[in-house]
Amino acid sequence: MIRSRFLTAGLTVALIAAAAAAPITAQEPSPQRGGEVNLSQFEDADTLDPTFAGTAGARVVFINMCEKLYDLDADGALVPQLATALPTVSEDGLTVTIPVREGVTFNDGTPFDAAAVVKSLERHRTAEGSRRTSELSSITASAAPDATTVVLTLARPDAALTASLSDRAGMIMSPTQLDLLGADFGNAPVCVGPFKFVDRVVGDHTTLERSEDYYDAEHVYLDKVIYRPIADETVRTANLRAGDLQLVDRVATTDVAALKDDPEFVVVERTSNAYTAMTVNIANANGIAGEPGVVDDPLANDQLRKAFDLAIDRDQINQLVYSGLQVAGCGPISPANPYHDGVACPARDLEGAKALVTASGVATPIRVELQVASSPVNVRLGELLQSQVAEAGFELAVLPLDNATAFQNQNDGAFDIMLTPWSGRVDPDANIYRFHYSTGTDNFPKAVDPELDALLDEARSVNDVEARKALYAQIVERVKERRSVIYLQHQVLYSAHTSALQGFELFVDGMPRLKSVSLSQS
Amino acid sequence: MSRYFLRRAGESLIALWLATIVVFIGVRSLPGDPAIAMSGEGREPAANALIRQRYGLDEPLPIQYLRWISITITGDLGTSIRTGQPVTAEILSRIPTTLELAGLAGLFAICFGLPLGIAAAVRRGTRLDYLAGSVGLIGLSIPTFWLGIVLILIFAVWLEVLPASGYVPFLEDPIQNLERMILPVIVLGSALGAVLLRQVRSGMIGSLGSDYVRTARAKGLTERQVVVGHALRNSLITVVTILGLELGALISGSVVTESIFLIPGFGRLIIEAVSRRDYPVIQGVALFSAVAYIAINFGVDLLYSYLNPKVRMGSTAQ
Repeated sequence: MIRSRFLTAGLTVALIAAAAAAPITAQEPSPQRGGEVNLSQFEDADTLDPTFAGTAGARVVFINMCEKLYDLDADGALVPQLATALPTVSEDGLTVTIPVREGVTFNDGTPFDAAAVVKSLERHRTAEGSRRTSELSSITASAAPDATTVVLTLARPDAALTASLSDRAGMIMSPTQLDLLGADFGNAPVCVGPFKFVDRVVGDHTTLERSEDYYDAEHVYLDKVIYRPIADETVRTANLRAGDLQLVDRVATTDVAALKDDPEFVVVERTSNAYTAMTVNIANANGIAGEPGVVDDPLANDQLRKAFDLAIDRDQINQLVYSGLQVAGCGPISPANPYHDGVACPARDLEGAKALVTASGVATPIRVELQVASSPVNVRLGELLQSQVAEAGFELAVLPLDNATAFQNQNDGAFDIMLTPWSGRVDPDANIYRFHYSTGTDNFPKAVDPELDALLDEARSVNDVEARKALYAQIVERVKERRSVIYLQHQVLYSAHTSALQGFELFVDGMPRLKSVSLSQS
Repeated sequence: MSRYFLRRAGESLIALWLATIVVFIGVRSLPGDPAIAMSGEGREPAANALIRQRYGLDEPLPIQYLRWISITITGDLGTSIRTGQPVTAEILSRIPTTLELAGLAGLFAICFGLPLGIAAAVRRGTRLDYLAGSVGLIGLSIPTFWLGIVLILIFAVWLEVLPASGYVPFLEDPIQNLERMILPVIVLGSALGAVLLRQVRSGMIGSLGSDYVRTARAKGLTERQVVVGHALRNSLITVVTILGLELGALISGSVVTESIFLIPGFGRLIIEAVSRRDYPVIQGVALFSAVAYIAINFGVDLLYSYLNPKVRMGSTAQ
C-alpha cells in the first residue's frame, strides 16, 4: 500500500513537472464521437436528386451526403474530392482527363470507380428534365478507359468545367441505386459521403446518419444530422436560443450582434460569392424566350439608368439595412473571389445623377417600380432606395411580391426593376454569363451586346488564369457601364451555433459542411 | 328527419361541385408558373417545358379541369409536381397532426371559454366579469404570429420549461408529443376561446333573464340546476354552431401556427404548395378542406336539429 502511495505521488510529481515544462497553449479538446446536430435550412429542398434539384435548399443537404469530383477549400479554391487531382486539359482544350479515387465505396456498399462517374455524368447531361444540362453543355462524350480515369470530350474549351464539377453536376450517384430507382432516386439518394440518407418528410425534416462505408469515416464524428427547413429568420434564431437547433445556417444581420455577445453561441462569417442586385428591364417586351423590344420603362434609357445608379448610396444601404455587416458592391464578382478586379465602388454622385436627369429632358418625378420578393429586409432596402433616388428626381414605388410571382414577372418582362439576389458560384462564368450573354437563360433585361458576348465566350474558353482575369476585368467594366444589372452588395454570410459544437467552418459557398464537426460532451 | 337529411346531403354535393370549380379557377388565377416557381435558381428552360408537358399545364383550362375532376372522383388527387409523391398520401400523412392540433386547440378553447363565459354571465357586473371581458378582448386582439414568438421566448428561451418547436408523433412518445403541443395549442386556441367566452356570456345573460329560467327558479330548483340544466343547455346551441364554423378556421389558422412551431401538418403543406405553385397539392388541399368544411357543417346542422327540433320541423314544413 505504502509503495503504491509513493508510486502515485511520484507519478503525480512527474506529471506536474511535465505539464510545467510543456508550452502553455490553448488546446482545442480532441473531437469526440457521437451526438446529433439539428440545423436549419433557410429553404426546403425540392428534390434530393442531384440531376433534377434546382434549389439552394437541396445543396445544403447534398454537401454532407453527396461528394463531388471537386470541392472548394475554405477560401474558395478548387480542390479534388472524389478526383485525386485537378483535371489535365489537352492543348486544344477539348479533352479533359480526371483521375478518380480507388478503394472508395458508395453508402450502399457499391464500389466507386470511373464507370460510376461516367454513368452519373451522362445522366446529368442527358436525362430528360435535367437541371445540369447547361452546366455540362460543353461535354459531348465521357468515357472510362480504366477504373480510375475519366476522359471527357468537349465541343469547345470550357474553363468553368472544373467549377461546375464542384457542385451538383460533379456529384456521383450509386449506379446500383440509379438502376433500382431511376427517376425516383431523389426519394432514397445514395452517394459517397460522410453521412447517408435516412429519411425525409417534405417541409419538416431530412435525417442523415454517419456512414460506415465512407472512405474517411474515422474523421466523421457526429452520429446524426437533422435538417429542419425554417424560412423565417426570427424563428430560426429563437430555436437556436431555445436549444432545439445547434446550428443556424443563415442568421439575419439584425441578430448577429446579440448572438456574438452571448457566450453560449458562436457566430461564424464568410464573405461569399453571393450578391444582391437589381435587374433593369431594358428590352424585355416579349418575355425571356421572345425577341427584345421596346419597353415602357424609363430606365431603358441609358442615361436615366446611369442617373438612377449614381443616386444610390451603397454604404448607407449597408449601414441602415444590413447593420454594416455586408460589403457594398457594384459588380458581379465578390472581393472574396480571385477574379475580383480590386476596383473600389465609386461613391454616390447625386449631382451627377441630377445633371443626367436634367439633360434627359424627361419630366420629373420619373415614376419607376421596384419589385422585391416579400421580406422585411427587402422592403427596408426598397424604402431606403426610394428615399435615395427621390433626391435625383425618381419616384420609386416598391412592390413586394411572393417569389413565384416575381419569377413569373421576370420571365414575362412584367417589371421595371426587380431585386434579384444570387447565391453565387465560385467561377465568374457562372455568375455572369447566364445574366449578361445576349441569349443567356437569365438575361431578363434582354440586353444585347455582341462585343460583350464575344468576351464572355472567350473567357469561358481560356484556361490560363491570368489571361482570364484580364478578360473578366474587361467584362466587369462593360457590365458596370451597361447597368442592365445594378449591383448593390456582396453578401457576407453568417451562421451561428452553440458553443458545444466544434470544428465548424463556413466556406465561401455558405454550405454547412459537417464532416469534421463534433459535439463536446460537457 | 330522412327527408331533411337527404335534402341537406343534396345541397352539400352541389356545394362540393361548385367548390371544385372555385378551387380550380382560384388556383389557376394565382400569378406564377409552377415550372418556374419550382426551379429556384436552377432555371433550365427545357426542364421547365418538360414539367409543363408532364403535368398537362400547357393544355386548355377546361381540359385540365376535366382531367383533374375525372381522377379526383376516383379518390386520386394526382401527383405533387414538387415531390413526385401522390397528393392523397401527402394529405393523409399530414391530417392526423393537424387534427390533433385543431382538436386540442378546440378543447383548450372550450375549457377556457366556456367556464369563463358562464362565470362572467352569472357574476355579471363584478370584477370577474370585467376580467373575463379583458381576457376575451386580449385573446381576440393578439396576432397569432406575435403570440407564438412571445410564448417561445418566455417558455422555451427564458424559462426553458417547454420545447420551442417540432413535432413528435403521439404513438412514438406521448409525453414529448403533448409537451410540444402545449404552446401551439394555446396560440391556436386562444382566439376561439375568446370568441366562445363572449358568445357564451351574452347567450347566458339572455337565457338567465328569460321566462323559462324564472319559472325554473320559481319551481325551487337550485341555482346550479338553473344555470347548468336550463340556461346553459339553451346556450349550447350557440357553442355548437360556433365550434362547427370555427373548426374550419382552426384548420386555416393552423397555417400560421404550424409555421411558427415547425409542425408538419396540413397548414405547412398549404404554405409549401402555394409558395411553389404546386397546383395538384393546392387543389387537393383546398378540395379536402372544402369536403371537411361541408361535412362539418352538415354534421352541425344535424346536431342543431337534434338540439332544437324546431329547426327540423321548420325546414320540413317549407
